[in-house]
Amino acid sequence: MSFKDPFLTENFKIWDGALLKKGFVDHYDVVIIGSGAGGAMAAKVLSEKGQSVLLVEEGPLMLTHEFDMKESTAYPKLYQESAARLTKDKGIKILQGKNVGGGTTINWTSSFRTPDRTLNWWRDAHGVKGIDPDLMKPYFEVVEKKLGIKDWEVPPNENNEVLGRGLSKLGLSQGMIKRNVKDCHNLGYCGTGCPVGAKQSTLVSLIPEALRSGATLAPSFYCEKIVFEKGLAKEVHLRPKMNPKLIFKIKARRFILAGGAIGTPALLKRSEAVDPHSLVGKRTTIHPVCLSGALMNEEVEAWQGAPQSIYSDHFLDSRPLSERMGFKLEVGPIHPVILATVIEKHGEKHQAIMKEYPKFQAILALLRDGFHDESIGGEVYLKEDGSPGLDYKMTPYLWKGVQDAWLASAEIQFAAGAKKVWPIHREAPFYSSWKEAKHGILNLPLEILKAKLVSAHVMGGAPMGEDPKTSVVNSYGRHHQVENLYIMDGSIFPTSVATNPMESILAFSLRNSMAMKAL
Amino acid sequence: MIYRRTFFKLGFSAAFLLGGAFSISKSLDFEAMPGFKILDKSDAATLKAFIPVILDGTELNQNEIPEVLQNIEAAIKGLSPSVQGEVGELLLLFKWRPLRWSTGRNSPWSEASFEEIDALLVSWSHHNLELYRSAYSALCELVNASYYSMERSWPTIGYPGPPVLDREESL
Repeated sequence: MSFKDPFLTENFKIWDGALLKKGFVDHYDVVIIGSGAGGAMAAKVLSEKGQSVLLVEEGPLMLTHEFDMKESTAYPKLYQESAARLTKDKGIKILQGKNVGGGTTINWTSSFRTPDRTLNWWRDAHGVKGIDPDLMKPYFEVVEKKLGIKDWEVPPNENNEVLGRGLSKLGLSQGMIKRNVKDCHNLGYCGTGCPVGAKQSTLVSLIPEALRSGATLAPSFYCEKIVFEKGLAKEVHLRPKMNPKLIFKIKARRFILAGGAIGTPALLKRSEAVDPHSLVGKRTTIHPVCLSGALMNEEVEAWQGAPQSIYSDHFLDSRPLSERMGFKLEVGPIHPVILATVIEKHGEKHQAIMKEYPKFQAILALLRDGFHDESIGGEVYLKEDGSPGLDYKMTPYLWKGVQDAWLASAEIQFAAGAKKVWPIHREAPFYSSWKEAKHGILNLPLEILKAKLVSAHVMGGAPMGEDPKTSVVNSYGRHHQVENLYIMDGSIFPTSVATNPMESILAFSLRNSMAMKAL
Repeated sequence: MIYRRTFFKLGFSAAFLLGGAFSISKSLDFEAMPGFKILDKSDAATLKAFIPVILDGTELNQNEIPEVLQNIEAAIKGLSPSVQGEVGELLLLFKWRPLRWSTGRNSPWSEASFEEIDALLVSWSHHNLELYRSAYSALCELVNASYYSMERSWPTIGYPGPPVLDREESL
């Protein structure tokens, strides 16, 4: 292992809300809320420009050597709501990071540029300027070089191989997923925090660089609100985890929100930020994911090896954006608690599937939401105590996409040699043939809390654009009404990205923080 | 006791929405259990009755139930206060007399037989009301996650556990 953790060897300025030992100053050039892909990139760019930066994070600072690959450690410490965040009607589970590094610490390293089709759509349908594919290309190139994003040369694990094999048999297009790793050990534990520092999460890459340039990191601080004065953002109120009764008021010349597409709109709402066209928190997209399980004849051991290495865009490319719901096909790593909670059964029926764990394979279908009149996304709202929730309703159009995705996945799994296939739905049996599955799937009730639905990508709620009637920030992430307030996370995307969004968030944050004029 | 208070305060409004009379005084009787801050004796008694049904077919021993309970408590602690409130609401359901009566019971769920609890779970799983289907998810998820996060359960499903790393070099 060649990884040396800079947090252990260098002298960084860290003001930890879980310890409250080290001091802070109460005025910065820039305060950034959120340390995931968007916030960390902005912190790096701006601190390298010589600005004083405070990078605030709600979750804890957990270092590489503390990642023990156990779900019981990772979920409570690194995820929002212990990895059990749900939409308002409890129909969809949402996985989001809550730690220094945000989603990048716990994601599965899949790195895709924003599809040209999506960029063009944002330009044409949402009036975003300066994002033509050739204009964005240099930013993707910088991000890829910076984070080691390149082709993955190691053979895919069997979980991915099943997807690839099935796609090949059916003559459907497939590709290899690029990953943001350096010296990866191919362990398969990306989701519990990379224990060898190979994944180029912002925790080991952009954040140390920002701190080296003089930025201050403030983990374990909840940002309660932004205070406005004379039309400008004046200060933020931070509550330390150690003692949530305390409030620290930090002033800055500029504020950047990067707490993710649930956290950022919620913070704007808690702060009663000006929102003349009532857009904040609306049109939230989540790439709803449905799943298809398969029992293979041979061991799959889907807990080990790079989690995601093969994908198919066949069902995106073959469907025009505004017509039938398209979906991206991938697989996901399967660890014991993930499988145990995905199977919504009890007793012998639950146990019967758990016993097949080593031979269990699963395909995920990510639905491309936000491009159609019948897919307008969900809405972020505040609960009584000010904490955020997401109301996201499944529509018949979305359900049709789920049904199509179950059918496509089952056909692929049988083509790859699956013994049995189970669309993950409470009332679905294990089907023994494609013919049987095809008939069965068409008769499954399309209802939440019967079909298992999850999401790992939350986007939108503060969309970019030039028209203040339809967008919250301009094409470079600056708030239309509050000119020293910026948003640099997935909230600015007018629709879903239609692929795993990390690289998109990094590239837009790079572009937009570079475009910020000198103070 | 902050946990406990938040736990219930937020639970009530929604519980009332279920309609009918709610035995508030009974529910608020917090009978503390050593080592637990959130779950009380009555919650634990209910869960102790449900755990063997939800984990039927596993190699769970009776003497492992307290550890599963501890894991459930830890899982609830990891939630935000408002979501803790929702879990509190779920456990209140079991103290709710109309629910018992509607299923023909007049004694607490902690005294129900294996078959009665299994029948209740099956009916919630496929219930027309989303509320009951989500209660089923939450309950099964809490118990199943708490069991399969225990290392002893891993060999029973063929999971070798995380690989052993030599971290010396990296430090």
